[in-house]
Amino acid sequence: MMSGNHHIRIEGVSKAYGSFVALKGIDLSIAKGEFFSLLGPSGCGKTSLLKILGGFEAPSAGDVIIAGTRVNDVPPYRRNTNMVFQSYALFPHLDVYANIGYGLKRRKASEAEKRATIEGLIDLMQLKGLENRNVEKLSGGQKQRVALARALALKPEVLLLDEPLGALDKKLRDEMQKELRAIQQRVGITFVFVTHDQEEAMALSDRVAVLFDGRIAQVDTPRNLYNRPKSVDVAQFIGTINLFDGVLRSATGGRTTVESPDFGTISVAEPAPSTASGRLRMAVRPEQVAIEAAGAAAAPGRIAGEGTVTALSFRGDRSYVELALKTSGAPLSVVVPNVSSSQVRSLDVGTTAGFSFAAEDLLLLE
Amino acid sequence: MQRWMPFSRTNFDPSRREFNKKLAALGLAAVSMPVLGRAAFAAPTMTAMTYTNYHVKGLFPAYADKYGDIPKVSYMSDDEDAFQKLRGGFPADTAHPNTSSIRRWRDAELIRPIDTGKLSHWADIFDEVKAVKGITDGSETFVCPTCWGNASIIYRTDLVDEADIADPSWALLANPKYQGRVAAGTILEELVLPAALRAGVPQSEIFSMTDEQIAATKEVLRAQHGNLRYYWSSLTDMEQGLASGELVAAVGWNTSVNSLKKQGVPVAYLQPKEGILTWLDGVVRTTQGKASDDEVYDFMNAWIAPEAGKYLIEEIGYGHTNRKSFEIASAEKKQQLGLEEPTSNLSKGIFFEEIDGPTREKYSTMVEEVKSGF
Amino acid sequence: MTTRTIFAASGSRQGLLLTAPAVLVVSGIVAFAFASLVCYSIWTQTYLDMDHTPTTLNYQRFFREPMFLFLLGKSLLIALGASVITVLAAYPVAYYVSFKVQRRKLLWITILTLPFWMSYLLRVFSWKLILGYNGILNTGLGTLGLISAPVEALLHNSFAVVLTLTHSWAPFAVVPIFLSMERIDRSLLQAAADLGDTPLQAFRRVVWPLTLSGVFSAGILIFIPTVGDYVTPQLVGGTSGIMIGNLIFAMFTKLNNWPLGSAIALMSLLAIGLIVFAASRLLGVHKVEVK
Repeated sequence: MMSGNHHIRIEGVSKAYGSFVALKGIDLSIAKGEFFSLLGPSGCGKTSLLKILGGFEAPSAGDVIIAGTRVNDVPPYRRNTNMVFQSYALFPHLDVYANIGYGLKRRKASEAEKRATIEGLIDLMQLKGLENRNVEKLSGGQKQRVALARALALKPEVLLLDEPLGALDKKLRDEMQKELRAIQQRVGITFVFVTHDQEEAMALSDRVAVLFDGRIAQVDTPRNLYNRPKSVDVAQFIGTINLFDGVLRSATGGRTTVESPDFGTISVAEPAPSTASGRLRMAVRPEQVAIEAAGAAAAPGRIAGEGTVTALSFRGDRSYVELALKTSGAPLSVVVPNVSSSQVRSLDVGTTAGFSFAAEDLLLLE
Repeated sequence: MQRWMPFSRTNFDPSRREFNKKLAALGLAAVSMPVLGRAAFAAPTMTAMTYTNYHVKGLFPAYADKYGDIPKVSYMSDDEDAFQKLRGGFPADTAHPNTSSIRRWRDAELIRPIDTGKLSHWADIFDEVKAVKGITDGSETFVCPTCWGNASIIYRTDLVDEADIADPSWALLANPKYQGRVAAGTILEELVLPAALRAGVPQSEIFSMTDEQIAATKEVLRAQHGNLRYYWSSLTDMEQGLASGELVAAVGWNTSVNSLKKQGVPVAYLQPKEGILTWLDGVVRTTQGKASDDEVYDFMNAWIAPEAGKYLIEEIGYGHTNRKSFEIASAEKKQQLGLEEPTSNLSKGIFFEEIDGPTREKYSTMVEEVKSGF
Repeated sequence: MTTRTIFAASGSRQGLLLTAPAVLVVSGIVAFAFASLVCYSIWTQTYLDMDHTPTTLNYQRFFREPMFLFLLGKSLLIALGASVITVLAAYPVAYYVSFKVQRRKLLWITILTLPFWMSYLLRVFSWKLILGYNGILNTGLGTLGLISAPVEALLHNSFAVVLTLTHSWAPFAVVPIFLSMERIDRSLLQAAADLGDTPLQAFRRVVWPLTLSGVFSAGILIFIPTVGDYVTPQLVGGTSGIMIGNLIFAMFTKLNNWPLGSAIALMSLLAIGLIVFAASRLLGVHKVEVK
């Protein structure tokens, strides 16, 4: 858990819709000003959690505390949170200006102040000149910015974003990601961002909570999620990973010895995962594997092996190599940068290739 | 006033016959006709335009026997309705107007003369009937007269005070004591003629009033208008109104007196001092009809046969035009209807006479203005 | 021109080609009827003869004799009353089905339109049964001892006309309003709540403006045919419920004056058009784009 002020605390929150349980005892703590993402496949409960934060759903059990106040039963219109909806939910009968000013209308502030707020947001969102445009006639990116401006106009403590970039095409999405991050840093509001796109979550977030099947699998920084996934599921969900079977031999003083059909007995400077059967999984990312000349001996601190090339794919800046291990036949994916010294040039489907990776890159998973 | 009975057995009649009547009264009769078994006779080819209660086998049995069925039918709600339908080209072979409106039909060349020599029962028709203006244009016969009856006020003997009918008059409709409890019909003659008499127009002039006389009549009708609950357009409405006590008096025909008495409703037929009205209707042959002479004459002849008259008197309660009908009709029924002396009955009251076309239109316009509240 | 616009253009051309026959037939019929009305209205009829010399006499009569304007005004008021009441009654029903019913909305709508499966006349008659002197309402109240004599004011007046029209046309009102509600993205309501609107405020600021076009078309749908209705007034209107339609009907039948009838019909049409236009301006419907 992150230290400091816990802006949002979610304690043991569950949510059931009839017999379907969407959330199963969620505990989370989000710091003030943090860009926090809820990541997971569809149906994992991330949107339910966001709706509970927004007040659109009440938790079946547990508490939601925002800025020290329990808000379980506070309706959306009394919460100091605002949401950017997946479909934007712009009011089709109002123009851009009125949409942005929608929530301000009833706020106690002078008209001049309100106008200044709206115009400031129009500047921030680069919507100048579109003030009186019908929102139905805007492009996807413009709609997105109006939705964001509308939610920010009320200066919420927490901004909730429900897959707001999902409807945009790739290029626009990349652009919007950058803008979103910049805006968040400028306004300094806590962002809770729901997405199923792991790259998006990693690019934007300070921390990410990965949800599977109504439970939190891991909460961590993007770097740790990638490099130190706590489970096979997380490892597989975040990026690609190669997995091998192994058997736990011994674990002492932070070192673990594993016996593997592919690599023999290896010792890794990593604590052993909890495993009842003694069986475990070893994992290594494709880009951490290097292609070597066939039959080359392992350098110190590296683990080496051989495999038959089953597929080759050239992607410009890098190449994808698929191997089948000589020992167990297990598949191994390798990503190699296309530098001039690359061994990949001599490979062909059916030929034998050597490979190696640093022992310290090997992950031990349950 | 009699205690009001929340549940009246006579009031609810959801039967199809009654409903069809209502529809027909609106001139909107898209009614499913009973499909009768076709006998191996010449099938009917003609279309008769008539009232719903006139379209029954018993009123022209000879035709039905010969052709195995009753003619195809198009319902008319009143003479004007029929007139407009025929002017619009509706291909009916016969229609069933009152003698008083026949002039316009002739002027519009909607009907053609009838060869009475082809009607075997013609000789038995009352001479008084044959003499009614409108049956002929002076030389040729245009109407085969079939039924006659009266129009007067039917009133509830238990709900109208005797004092109010001590001097019986059409003015009962305008008696403020019964405001909202009386109804008039929509038939032009039945509205205009009594009102004209009440306005002081001499009886000899009521069929050809001057504009001043029409204006005076209008004043009478306007005063009466505010007193009415409605102008009934369906017999059933009027009869139910009287039966339930919603109405204490309404303009109506013998048939309603007959049927209300049968239901045990205490009603009587007013004999106004201005005179009871007597109407006469009959079958006319249209110019646009395509059916054969034989079939149309068979139809007319069947209507004026004595057995048809017996049915008309006994079942419907109107007078027939064939004197022999009265010889075979039930004496009890005749007595009930006051028809023991048909000839004296025919000569009493005010017979609907032919009204000159343009004059009739003036009457109509005046009546519509009154109905609209002006 | 890009390929897409070429496709779009050829698509719309094709659509035009497909609808052309129907459009031609329908507009032909309407144009014919309208032209006939216009022609008749400038002719005159004396007894059975039609005088084809163009004249404004019929229109002069229409404006000179107070009866016509009075009946037209009264009919417009009755129709307006019926439309407003119908829409007011239909709105909550449509709202309930659209927003509160979770499943089988179509079944609900079908049930709501059940009265429409019945003949128009039957519906009117059913009101006679209910409101009549010995009708269900009077009988029920009498049996409960709430009244000692039947209430006569229920039937045969303008009130009965408005009530009957309201019921007869209610399904017509529910459907367009319901459809306009169904088109509302439900997240808009969440957005409104999120931006500080209580449910009532969200209704006023989001649902109402977005259903205005449905409300308007429902109102029009009822208003236009009821102005000219003559069956309902005849059946339940009594002596005071007569409307312009009865007079037009009489002109074309009893009074045998097609020219004057045509002039009245055209003037009614004009009045309806003006009122519809004024109402659309007043409600600001023209500003809301219907998608």
